[in-house]
Amino acid sequence: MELTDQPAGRAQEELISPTPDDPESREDARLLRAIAEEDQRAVALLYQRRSGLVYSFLLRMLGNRAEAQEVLQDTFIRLWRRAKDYDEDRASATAWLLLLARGLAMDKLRARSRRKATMSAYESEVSALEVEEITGARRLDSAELAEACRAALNRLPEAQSRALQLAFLRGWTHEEIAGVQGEALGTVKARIRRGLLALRKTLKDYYG
Amino acid sequence: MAEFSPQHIDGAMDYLLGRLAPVDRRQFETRLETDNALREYVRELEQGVVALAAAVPQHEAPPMAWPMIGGEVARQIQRENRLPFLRPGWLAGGWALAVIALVVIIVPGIWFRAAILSRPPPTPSGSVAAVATLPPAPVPIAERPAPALRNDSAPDESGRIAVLQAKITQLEAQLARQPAVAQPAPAADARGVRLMPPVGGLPRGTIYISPELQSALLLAVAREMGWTLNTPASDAASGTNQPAVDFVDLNPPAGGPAAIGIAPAQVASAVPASPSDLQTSPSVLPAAGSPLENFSASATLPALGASTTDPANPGAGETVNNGGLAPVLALGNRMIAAINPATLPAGSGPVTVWQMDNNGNGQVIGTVTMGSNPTVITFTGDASQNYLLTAGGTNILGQFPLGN
Repeated sequence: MELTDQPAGRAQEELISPTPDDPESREDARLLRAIAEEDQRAVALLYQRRSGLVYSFLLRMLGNRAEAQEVLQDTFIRLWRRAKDYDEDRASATAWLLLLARGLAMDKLRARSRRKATMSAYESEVSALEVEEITGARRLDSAELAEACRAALNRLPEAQSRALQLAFLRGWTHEEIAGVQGEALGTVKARIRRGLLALRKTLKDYYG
Repeated sequence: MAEFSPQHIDGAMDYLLGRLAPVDRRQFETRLETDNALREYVRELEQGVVALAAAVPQHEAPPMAWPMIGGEVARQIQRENRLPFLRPGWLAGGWALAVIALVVIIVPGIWFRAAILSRPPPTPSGSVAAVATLPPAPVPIAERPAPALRNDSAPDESGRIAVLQAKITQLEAQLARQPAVAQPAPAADARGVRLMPPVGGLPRGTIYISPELQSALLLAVAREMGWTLNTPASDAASGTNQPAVDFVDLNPPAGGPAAIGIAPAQVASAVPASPSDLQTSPSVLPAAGSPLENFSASATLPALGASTTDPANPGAGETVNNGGLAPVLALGNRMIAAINPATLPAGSGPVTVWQMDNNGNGQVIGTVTMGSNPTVITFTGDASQNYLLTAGGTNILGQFPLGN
């Protein structure tokens, strides 16, 4: 059974509660604060720690190595100027960095063409998302976490996984996804929420 | 579930990224308090992006990405070093205003003393750019005009100073309202205060100026202009003429402050070189212990904190300055270098100031034994030469072109 539009009780509580207290993210936050103080070494260290994660995410979003590299560069150059905008009360440092990258990638996606939320566009996006790039793939330093997250994503019901990825990796709105899937908006939202909860639980279990 | 507009969706991204203006942020937070759907969406964005990023197949970033990033960051730093008022931190800390205020006071101060006292007062300039285009002062800086703000100033000067102070206030207000725009000082104006960039090509590191060294540099400018209340004599008697800053003048101009700070063990002392002190260039060893030593080797990152320029072969490498090793201001033909002994490599010995010729030969201008305080070294420069500061003869603290 899908969740309703208005999740109640534990599910909603978990979704709204803060990101798991991740020691890696705490270190990222420390580096972001140092970058805000114009510490050039901190940019290099943060790049060393997170460039793979950001690049992989961008590659998944854009499906093109050259564009992913370009946006990766833009992200870290932008980060040098914008690190002082970071507020750890609002988002984890890792999330902040990924959102910065995602925003730039979304601009790139928008610039490619004016996307229309049609069935053919949906099918094209879904098939692109299903291409699993093996060549050049590597294991994260925290390979267990990556594996656990990937497994969690694969365990999601297909519709849930698609909705989640379309929303996060392709920038589709909930309304657009609902429109092409021919389902109620609330159902799509609930799917995305459940998918997130599953992934979040994986993260939470990993960090204890 | 309440719906929210695309505006709110974009607002959620901007909120998480800290890009909302204060007013918009407050509005957004007010809505967050009451709108469950929006709150969920914000949390969804924040957590979903991390979970999905961890779940996708992982790849190494392309090897060419970092050099592009590091180079661009270095260029931005260099631009800001050249125009420090572009640096947001300076604005926030008031340093930009302090420097601009100094420039605004210094230049007209010289102007008043030397030329304008006998003429009607000038109309105050309307902008920083206008100040930079003031006509050349007829009296060289080395002649040390009396301080414009001293109590013994001519009575009719007080009115002009009041006008200037009002202008400074106005400029401060303008700066607070306007985005900083680069206003490069005319290269030909040798009287302006300039932060000397290190020589060499891009990319390179930053000259980070710590607050202590910023204070030291500003005190040194005031001292060069004769504005300090303490006289050199009283400075010498006390060993240091400003709290926690040592001043060493390697070749004071006639009538200027003498080399000071010799006596106590913790105060920097100087040994000006004799004219025959032409020596071969110091041998240069890279500084060890860069925190990024390993990373830089694998990712073509400049070895931050290391000094790699061989003065005998300046084209072979870069001098990378960071940690406030030796920022240098040029005030006319006077060079003002500030060094924090705490940033020097352990046991690196005295600081030597070299004048370099085109063949890489160095002539020692003077040697300074550092105390425990931030130390300002001043010397008279020559626009046709390069200068090199070394610690212990092996570690380059900075290499500065005077001519550009």
